[in-house]
Amino acid sequence: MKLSQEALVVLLVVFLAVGGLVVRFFPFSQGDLDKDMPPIITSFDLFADTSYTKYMHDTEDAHYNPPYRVMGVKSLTVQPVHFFLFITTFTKLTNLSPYQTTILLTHVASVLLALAAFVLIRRAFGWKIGLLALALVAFPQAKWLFQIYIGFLYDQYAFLFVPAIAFFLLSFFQKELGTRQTVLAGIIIGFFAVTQWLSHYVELFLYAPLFGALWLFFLWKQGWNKQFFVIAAVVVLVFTPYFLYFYPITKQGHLAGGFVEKFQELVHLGKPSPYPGYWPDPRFSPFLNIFGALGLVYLCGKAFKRQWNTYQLLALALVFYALAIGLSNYVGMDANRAGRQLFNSLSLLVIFPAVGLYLAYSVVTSHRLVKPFSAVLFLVLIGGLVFVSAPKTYAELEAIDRGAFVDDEKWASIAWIRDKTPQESRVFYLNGFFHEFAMLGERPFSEGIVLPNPESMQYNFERLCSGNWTPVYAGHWGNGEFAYAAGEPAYLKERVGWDTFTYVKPFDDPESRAAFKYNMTISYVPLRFFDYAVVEYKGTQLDPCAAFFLNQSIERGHTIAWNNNRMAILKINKTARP
Amino acid sequence: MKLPTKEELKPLGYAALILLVLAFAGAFMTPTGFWTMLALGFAFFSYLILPGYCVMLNFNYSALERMILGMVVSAAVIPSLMYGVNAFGFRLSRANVIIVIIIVVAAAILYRKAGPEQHPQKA
Repeated sequence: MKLSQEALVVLLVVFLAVGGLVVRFFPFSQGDLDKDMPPIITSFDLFADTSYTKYMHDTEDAHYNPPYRVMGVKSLTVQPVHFFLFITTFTKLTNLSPYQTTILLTHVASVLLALAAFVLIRRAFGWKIGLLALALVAFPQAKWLFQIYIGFLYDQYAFLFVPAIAFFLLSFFQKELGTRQTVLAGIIIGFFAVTQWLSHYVELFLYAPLFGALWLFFLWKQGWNKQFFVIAAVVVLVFTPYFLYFYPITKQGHLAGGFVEKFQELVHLGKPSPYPGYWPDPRFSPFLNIFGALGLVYLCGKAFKRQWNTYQLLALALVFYALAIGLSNYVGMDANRAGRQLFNSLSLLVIFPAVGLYLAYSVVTSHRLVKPFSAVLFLVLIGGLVFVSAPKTYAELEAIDRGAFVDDEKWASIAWIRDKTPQESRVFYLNGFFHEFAMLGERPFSEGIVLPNPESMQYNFERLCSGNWTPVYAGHWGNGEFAYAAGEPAYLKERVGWDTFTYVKPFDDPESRAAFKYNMTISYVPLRFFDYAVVEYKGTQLDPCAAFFLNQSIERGHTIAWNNNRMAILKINKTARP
Repeated sequence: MKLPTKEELKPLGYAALILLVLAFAGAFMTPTGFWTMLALGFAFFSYLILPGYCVMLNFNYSALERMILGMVVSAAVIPSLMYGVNAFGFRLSRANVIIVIIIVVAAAILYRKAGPEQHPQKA
């Protein structure tokens, strides 16, 4: 009987995991993974992440920025690299394009996150509550998909290791591990910490205090047992080399100002959050709220009677900690980062409605007439949760897909630039989607990180729409890595010591140095500076202005190199009249 | 060192079988080609399932916990090691990824203490 229960659990987990993956992923790619193009582009971070992965995959090196992200300069990347590295190395074992695997593995990470929370909840509260929680989280609705709108794909991946760490700590605190296993658990937790740190430091920032406090609490409770020092020592041993290697690099950019400044930026008590409402709070339906309240009351009652065991206590400590961090944005924590935590904790927060639903199920099946059908009722309950939420999730995904930035016609122009022009070609994107085209087209000279760069686009189109030809075009030249550099107007070129680097000024090319002001200020560059100009000439309110630009360009001696029904690519003639 | 028993290898066999069936089904039901699906199944198995599961054989957990947490372990350990390997100048090539996976699998099995049969905990 026990064996069949285990088999049922495995089957349901596989069903939920695969089903969740299909629902989440296939609306984007329409199931065609062979396409060498991104299945969806809706936000800056989505294509930025993809471009990092693509560059790492193509160069087989994780240490440098894609040149098209830093204006053609070869520079060390100061981004947390682990998430991109995960996708890159996985992709190497397939014949897929990194464009596809970036989104695919993000969704795998979200399914794994649900499964990691499932094993934790299952250990603490039994397999029925574990499965109910999994069914509630495996087919989440719109709010869970917010990351697809705004990017930050690596957050789910980084948060994945939080419940997994809790699981290993639970076994350790319960003394279920021998000394050998404790050493190995330390190594694994060390790698989890490395992964969180190298994919997004925020998760490590926010959860290290919880795990440190738990360790100290049990150390005290177990009478300062020597074995408890082993796990901490091994974690530190694994983590330290990665920290020493990476911190000096990222301190120059992503962690500009170092830990202290970043912490101050993260926790600014008494000041309003800089990004209010950036992340929506995860909310359940009114139906689930009732069961959530019921579950919460029940669990509080158990706590009052001191009936929680260690597993339950620590699983709930993690849930309440995540809640506390998430809700702290109302008292001055950085809403962006704190909101992310609440968002990613959804897979743990479902424990309250799961407990409530289980209580209701237990009451119903306690009746002697219903009892023989309890197994069937449980399957109906799980199936009902799945089938109620899956179509809504699927519909939401399709809506996101319809709002995607890159469609086949736009992609054709991007692919033409990427595949048919020399690597160092300077490409100008008249319609303002500089970043997307520069990164996906893999050619330097994009506009700055300020999106959507309305000022420069407005300048360019105001002139063209008024029927006046302009020989110079505006842009916020300068890019992400450069913008991050703390007070140092340069990229990291080479590492010459543990904490010392040589720098390279952006725009090594004398002609571009003369042409551009950088650091995201507008500068005006002659059209002849570029080799190609990409124009969306049909399908927007600016069609007449784009047509004026194309006609005037052709009159001046530039030629159409490629076009389809919507996009045109102009080959710039360097000797044409201005 | 302790080699995995037949019972311990069963979940790996089931996982490989499920992935193979999914690859066939995927190739049949979507526009994606068969070899692409098969390679994807191979990558899921060899990258996400195999190394983590072998590491988790060292723990007295249930097969389900070994499988699920094993995937999380793989997702952390393989890329972290590849970052370290890359820092020493080795490329992020297909061959190097496979070598690192083999090293992790071998180390997990070699580290495993020989002794009486461990019975994984049930659900």
